[in-house]
Amino acid sequence: MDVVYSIKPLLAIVVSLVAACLILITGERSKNLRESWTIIAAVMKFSIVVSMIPTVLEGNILEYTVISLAPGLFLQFRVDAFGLLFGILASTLWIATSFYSIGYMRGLKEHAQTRYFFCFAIAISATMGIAFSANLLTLFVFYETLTMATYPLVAHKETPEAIKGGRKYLTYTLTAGVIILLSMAIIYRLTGTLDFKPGGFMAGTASADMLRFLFVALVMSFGVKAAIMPLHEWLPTAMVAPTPVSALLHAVAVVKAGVFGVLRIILYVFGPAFLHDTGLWIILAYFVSFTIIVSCFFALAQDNIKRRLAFSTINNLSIVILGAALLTPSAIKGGMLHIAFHGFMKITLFFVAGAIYVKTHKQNVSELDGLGRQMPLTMGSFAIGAMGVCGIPPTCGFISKWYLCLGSLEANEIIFLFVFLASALLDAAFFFPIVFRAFFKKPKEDIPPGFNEASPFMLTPLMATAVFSLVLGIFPNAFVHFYEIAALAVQNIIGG
Amino acid sequence: MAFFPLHVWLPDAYTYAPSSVSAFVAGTMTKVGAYVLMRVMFTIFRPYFSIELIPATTVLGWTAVAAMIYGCVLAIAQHDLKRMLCYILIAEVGYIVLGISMANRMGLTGAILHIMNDALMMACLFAVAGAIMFKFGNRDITNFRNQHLNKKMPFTMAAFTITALSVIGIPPTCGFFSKWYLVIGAIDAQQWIFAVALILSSLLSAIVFFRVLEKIYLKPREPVHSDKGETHEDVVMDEAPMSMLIPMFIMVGGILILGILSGKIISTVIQFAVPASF
Repeated sequence: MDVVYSIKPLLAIVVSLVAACLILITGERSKNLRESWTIIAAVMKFSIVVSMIPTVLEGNILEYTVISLAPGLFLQFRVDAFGLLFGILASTLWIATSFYSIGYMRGLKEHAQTRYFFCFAIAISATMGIAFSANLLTLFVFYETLTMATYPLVAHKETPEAIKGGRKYLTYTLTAGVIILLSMAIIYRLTGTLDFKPGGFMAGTASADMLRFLFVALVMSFGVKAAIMPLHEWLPTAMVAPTPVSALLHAVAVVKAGVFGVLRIILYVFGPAFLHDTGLWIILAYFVSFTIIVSCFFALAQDNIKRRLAFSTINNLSIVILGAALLTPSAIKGGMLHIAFHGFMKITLFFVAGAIYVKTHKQNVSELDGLGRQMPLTMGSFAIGAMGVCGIPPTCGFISKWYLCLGSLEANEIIFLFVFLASALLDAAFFFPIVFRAFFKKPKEDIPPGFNEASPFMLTPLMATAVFSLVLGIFPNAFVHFYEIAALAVQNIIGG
Repeated sequence: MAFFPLHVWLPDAYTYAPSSVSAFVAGTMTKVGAYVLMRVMFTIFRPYFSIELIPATTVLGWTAVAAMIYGCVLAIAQHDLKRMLCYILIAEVGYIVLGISMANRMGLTGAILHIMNDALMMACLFAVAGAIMFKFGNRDITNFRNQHLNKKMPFTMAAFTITALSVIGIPPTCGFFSKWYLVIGAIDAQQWIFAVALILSSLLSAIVFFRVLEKIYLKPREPVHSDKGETHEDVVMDEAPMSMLIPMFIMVGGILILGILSGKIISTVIQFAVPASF
């Protein structure tokens, strides 16, 4: 593996920081100019990230050191296959969300739009920083930045309910943050380094009890953002945020940053060998299995569409972690692919929920009867997204679940195969009633007979992500080589 | 240096002094005490005397923990912005003394770094309080909700936000890095309770500052009974004069730059400032 020194990772992060400043300077004076900064930065970021793909696929690593913070500690970026996978996902979906945000915020005439776009740009910078971090400290820097940037987005509506949601979000994430800080300091004193290494660097550096304590502390504190039960409570509450925020941050960036952190801890800090020897993997696997099943039952009981989606997100995040916890090549590959594929599917579903809200001000499943006749394209995209989350071919959800199921067989743990299958069935149980209501039930009186879709600004992104979910299901390697990248990451961890 | 429990004079003295005075004095005067403490403990008396013979470090350590928690908790209870900052300052002095009391290289590095960082943060916070005082004539936190501060004084409030994040210890501001060295110092000294107290007090200061930030930036959408009946959209910018803003922003720039350059500062300056016996 060769290390290529390149400034590209830094550029990918800085470009949206610059955009954030320009957004702030432009302000409310020229809305079109302000939004074009967002779009320009999104496209530039995407091209920078895509230009890194060939280098990484050749087996190289891009590295850039910004500054030394302490002996053995650098503010450093390193783009390996796993980080690149996350980076591609976030930068692709940022483009879709930028367009969608414009349609949504203008459609609803939301207040404080400058603050909204400003925080959004900072949040996406932080997400890229998390993806490309070379060590735990750099990751932590961006992880906390992400928390700070998303808090005003969660509390955006400024209703007492939204402010309460924001407080809850801060309480959970900041508490987790200081626990990460403490564990990180202990690791630094034990090993003198915090650099991620495929296969881990912690094994044998301290007493078994100490390592167990650190592992639990780190997994649970990153698990707050990954919404592992019982630490998931903030996520449904945070659904009071505007829908594009929920879409990008609560189905893609924030929660995926949590999962990304957990996977980094499992695979790059402690390492599969350590988990296997101590038997921690089976405990973690049962722990997240509980979340997988129980969150489905919670989802069944929700009438609010976004809350139902939130519990489905909790379910899928734990599926990714279960994949990593099984420690077999197929399971890890499936988990990594699921990070990317679930992003595409879940963002479609959230976009649809937002489009329905902007067009009809409906937020509950029970009000959707016959909506498919008014908004056939929107609800059609919802159907594709729903099929994807259930893992029905030919959507991309099938591919990742297939590898996850193979992985549970490789690990000789049939019970987790049933966990995956049961959750797929339960997914169907809470998503298909929505599709059924929209297309097959008699329309309510307030539904106009003709087509009346949301604005093209919202419709195009949501259909694009739905189409991507289908295309990636048929060609998992299409456009940005998700499959090859995930396979490479697994090869680095298991083989190297 | 207003070290708990000998801090009682400080909130009264600083709250009612002119803000330009308290901005400078809060930043520097408490630090003189910290400097003298280090001199006396490690260079006038021998370290052996202060650490082993009279267990000054042990006593100071536990008192510092009390100061950190006490300062933060009382800060939560204040209505007056400047009084709140005074209690935060008492907690910050606790951090410095805690670092000194660990009596190891990392703890002392953290303490010295924090002397510098805290001077900047406190001066900036008091300068912000002064600017608010200058424009509104009062600084009662409970009024902030109706004063449209984020619209009237966006730059001052931006300075306040960044400094607040630094006091809480959010990277990449400088407050995070001194906290990082202090936590490592506590781990090296095997004082787990000190480490827990450090992170606990940073959570408490998060409560202190987000309580204020929430009032500044987030207002309930339903019509608030504002004095003049103006709505949020009508408010025009009414910033403090440039001569107040520029120093404020120099300090904010310092907070960000000292954070990122902390490695450099430690390797070129602070490591030689730590008494050689450590």
